[in-house]
Amino acid sequence: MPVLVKENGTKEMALQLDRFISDSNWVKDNYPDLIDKYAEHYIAVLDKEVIAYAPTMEKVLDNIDELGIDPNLVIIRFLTNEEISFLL
Amino acid sequence: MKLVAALDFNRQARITGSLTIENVKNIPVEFVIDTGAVRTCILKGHIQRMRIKSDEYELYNFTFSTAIGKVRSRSFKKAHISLMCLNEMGQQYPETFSFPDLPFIPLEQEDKNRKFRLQSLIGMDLLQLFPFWEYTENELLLSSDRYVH
Repeated sequence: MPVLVKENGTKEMALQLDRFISDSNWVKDNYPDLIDKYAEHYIAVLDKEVIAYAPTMEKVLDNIDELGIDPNLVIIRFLTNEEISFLL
Repeated sequence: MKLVAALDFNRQARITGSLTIENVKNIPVEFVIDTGAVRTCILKGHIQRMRIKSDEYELYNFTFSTAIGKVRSRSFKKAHISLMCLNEMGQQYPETFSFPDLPFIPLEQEDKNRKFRLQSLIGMDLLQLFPFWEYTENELLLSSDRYVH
């Protein structure tokens, strides 16, 4: 069972999470347009902008590297028209 | 303490947080709320996304129950998930949850299609800390206490 770490997160952590959430919500809000452009591709989003896309994860990570951007700052999503269900 | 999950176009409730496993710190991870999962778990796509070579980590094999039966899993030791929470005043602040072990699961369909899903799962081990739920048009609010509105 997870344990809540008692110290509240740092301001840096708050800013980072805020940016992740903002980019994730941008993908959600723009999903119809994004799926039209990038169906069956991975997209990398930073500051509400698609900075890279590719049909494979390896390729999109390489593209992010080539841009000189830390991939750990980027939201990556796979866009598909297939309905995804979880059976766990 | 309250968590806010966004409802997406197909009404799945998602929370974006960050994951830390040993030296790989604060990777953005999108989680789906899954009451059928006993354990919070990371799916294989995120392992690939983090460029983690799992054979370099101390891992434990174990089995746990899910909605469709038992799942074999491997587990990272000492992982942290940070999520943005709301306090009673509605102010945002990050909280970090420490997992003594955190399973990751390779899904067969992912392997078959070579398309790795990038949503991991928040399961009942974490959800039980937030027993009061409320739906709005676009959000699922999960609270640790019953709030007076």
